[in-house]
Amino acid sequence: MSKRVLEITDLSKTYNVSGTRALDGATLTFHSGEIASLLGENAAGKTTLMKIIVGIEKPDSGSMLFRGDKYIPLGPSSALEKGIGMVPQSLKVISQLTVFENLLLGFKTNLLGGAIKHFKERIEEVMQRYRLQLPLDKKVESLSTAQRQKLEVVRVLQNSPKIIIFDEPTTLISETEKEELFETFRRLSAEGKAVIFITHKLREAYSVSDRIYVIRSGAIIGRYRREETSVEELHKLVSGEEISTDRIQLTSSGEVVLRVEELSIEGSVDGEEAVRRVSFEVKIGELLAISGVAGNGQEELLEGIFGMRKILSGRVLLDGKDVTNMSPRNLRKLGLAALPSDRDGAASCKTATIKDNLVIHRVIDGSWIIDDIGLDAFARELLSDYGVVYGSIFDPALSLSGGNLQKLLLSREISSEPIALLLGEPSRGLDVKHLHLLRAVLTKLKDEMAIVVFTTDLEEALKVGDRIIVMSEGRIVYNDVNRPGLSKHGIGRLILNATGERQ
Amino acid sequence: MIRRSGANGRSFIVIALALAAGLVLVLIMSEEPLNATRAFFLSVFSNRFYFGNLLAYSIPLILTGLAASFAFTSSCFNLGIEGQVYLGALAGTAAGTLLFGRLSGVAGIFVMIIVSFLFGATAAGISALLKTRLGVNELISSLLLSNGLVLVVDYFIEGPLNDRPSGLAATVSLPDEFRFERLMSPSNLHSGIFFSIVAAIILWFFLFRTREGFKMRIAGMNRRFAYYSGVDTKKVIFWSLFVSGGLASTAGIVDVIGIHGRVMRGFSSGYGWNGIAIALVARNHPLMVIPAALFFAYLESGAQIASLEANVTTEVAKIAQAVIFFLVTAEALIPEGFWRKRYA
Repeated sequence: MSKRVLEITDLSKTYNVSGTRALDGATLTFHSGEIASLLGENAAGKTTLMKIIVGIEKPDSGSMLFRGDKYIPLGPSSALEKGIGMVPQSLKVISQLTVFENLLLGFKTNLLGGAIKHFKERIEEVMQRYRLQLPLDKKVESLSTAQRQKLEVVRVLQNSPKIIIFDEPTTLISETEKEELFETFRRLSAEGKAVIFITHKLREAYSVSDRIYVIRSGAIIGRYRREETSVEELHKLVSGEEISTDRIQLTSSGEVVLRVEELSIEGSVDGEEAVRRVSFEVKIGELLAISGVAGNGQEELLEGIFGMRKILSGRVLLDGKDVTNMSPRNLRKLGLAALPSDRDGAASCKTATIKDNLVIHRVIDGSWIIDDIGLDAFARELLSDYGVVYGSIFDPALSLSGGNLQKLLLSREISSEPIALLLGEPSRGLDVKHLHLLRAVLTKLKDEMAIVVFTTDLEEALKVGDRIIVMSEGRIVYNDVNRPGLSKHGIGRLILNATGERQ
Repeated sequence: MIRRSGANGRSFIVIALALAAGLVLVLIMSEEPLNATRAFFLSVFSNRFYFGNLLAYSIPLILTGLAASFAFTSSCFNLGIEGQVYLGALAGTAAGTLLFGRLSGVAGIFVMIIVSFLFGATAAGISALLKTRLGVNELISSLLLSNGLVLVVDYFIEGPLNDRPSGLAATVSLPDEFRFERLMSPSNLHSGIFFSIVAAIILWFFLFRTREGFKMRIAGMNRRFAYYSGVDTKKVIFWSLFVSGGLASTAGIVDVIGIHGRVMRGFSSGYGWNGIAIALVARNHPLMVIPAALFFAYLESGAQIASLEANVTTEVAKIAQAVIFFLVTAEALIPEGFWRKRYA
């Protein structure tokens, strides 16, 4: 029978910098042997709540009881010692080290030979027990995102925690990997651990959880056992709107704006071909969605077209003009805009201010002396048009929640009024309400420009795309108009038949 | 603009710790601790001579601090400042010697500074080109190049430009017309201080109020983002190192014009490294470089006065500076969240 392991009473937290009230009297309980999800929109207070539980943030008021005792964590490592571990959203691993070395980093006893051997045995036992197989001697840089996530899970598990928190773990991984992750959840809860699953994805929360807490504006507004609720009810509660599953309607298509011919693009290793002889064209009014399992060349394709990666052979034509291997600066001048899926590394500068992230193109195209008054006004207007929640435009971009940053970046690219727009993972990190908004915006925009959406989420591709391309190992393995009745499994079968070997 | 809320608090602690280190050393090493402490910390304010010298010593440090900040702002590392200061001093002095009798005082000084700037800028520009064309790490190339340049300058001081009659390891002296005016005699303070302050203000305006400065700051924070957003990052790297090297060289020539009147072997030793430490304390902010440089000059002057008046070795200042260098480079010692306001 499940026992209460963590009781949270009336937690509140206001951030001084922005004055945002992130938590407003949140009260909830987690039980051992249960999977509980914390479901809410962007900036609803999910992450803040978790940061308080592991001691990264201090609450203004409220209290926590851990296994019946008063619990005041001093920081993530003290929380982990006490028995609460977190798998963070942005994974904190060192890619130059091997998997095992990364695990050793959290290991506190002195590192005599015997201790290491013993530690290795323990890690192997943990991996065995929870079926989290990892190549211990491989460097982390060669691991996929899902494998890195497993590494974080193993790291947390070797401390035998009572509670494991997963912060938005499904954002960056594929459908199959998601199933595996949920399998891990179940195994953990069967061992009597409490699993806390933070997410904004309704269906995922519903499908895997025993208990669901809905959080909105910093307060818990719904508490359910799974059997007491339904997806529809949750949706209403989360966003306050009805769900509509309609796909964006196909509009009449116009002229070809962007054409890619036999394109091969260099990968991260010199001479490696990440994209191989890819050809397609995009018309105004026809939204092209490029999908496939992450790491099969989609990201490189976007970066290659946009001049951020070397094109080895083939051509890119923008409005009939050859723009192969042109720099982003010149491509922007010709009317191409792009949002790379590498949000932190390329698409934004987290240490720069919100304003600088927004106005950079205006500054670069502007006068020699910066017109700060005009730019401030421009930034504020754009942010309010797209409903970005922020403290001050002079706060660093890292003060924004993931979804709000996403909106900011989209607004920046769209505001440059391009003739062709490449969007890497535009739906990543957005909750139901903002997903709908995004789709509505895309529908409107595609009458004016050619849009290519790169998404590893095939279901999302089927929702927004008029034409679907699926990539595998750098090649296009599927390219067809999106017809009603086309499903994920249907496409999967077609690809399987075509390639014959991949599972 | 970049938020720097955390910088002041942390720099303040660093400075306080450095002063404490200085105090402890003075107390340990001196036989008359009270007198030594007074000499080290207070004597400098007791007369025009000491105070003027403090200000004079800060002039080249402001310029080398600006030189380091300017490169750091775009995430480039100019470790060749030592050599560039020395080279600039020599090139400017040589130009001054050649120009004697052909140009008036002000014009002559102007040309000397320009020539000096171009020499240092070229030296740093070579490292920049090696980086953008061949991917050579500028940190290493600028350091090695600078070490070589020091030897070349030494050769000119001992050889072609040597002031033979004097028997010194120094070049011939500049004519009096090509010297800055003294401001607080009998101290060394000269009008070059206005040059360094104006340089700081111009750099501040450039970095925070102009398009090119914006590009430089963004490229410094995230080069890939800058490139994606349309900044020509190679150009940014080149110009930031070019200007950095030039500024470093002006530190050398301004010091020569203002104080020594000639280039003496090794006269600028330490200006470059201190400039780097000053940039770190000032968090690369051009206006903050001025107080940071004054503080370094204060430590140096205090140590010198203490050695005269209270028999404390001048190495005390070096150790206090080393403490600063250590603390600012070991930022990790002070948890980030301790100073910076936290974000969701």
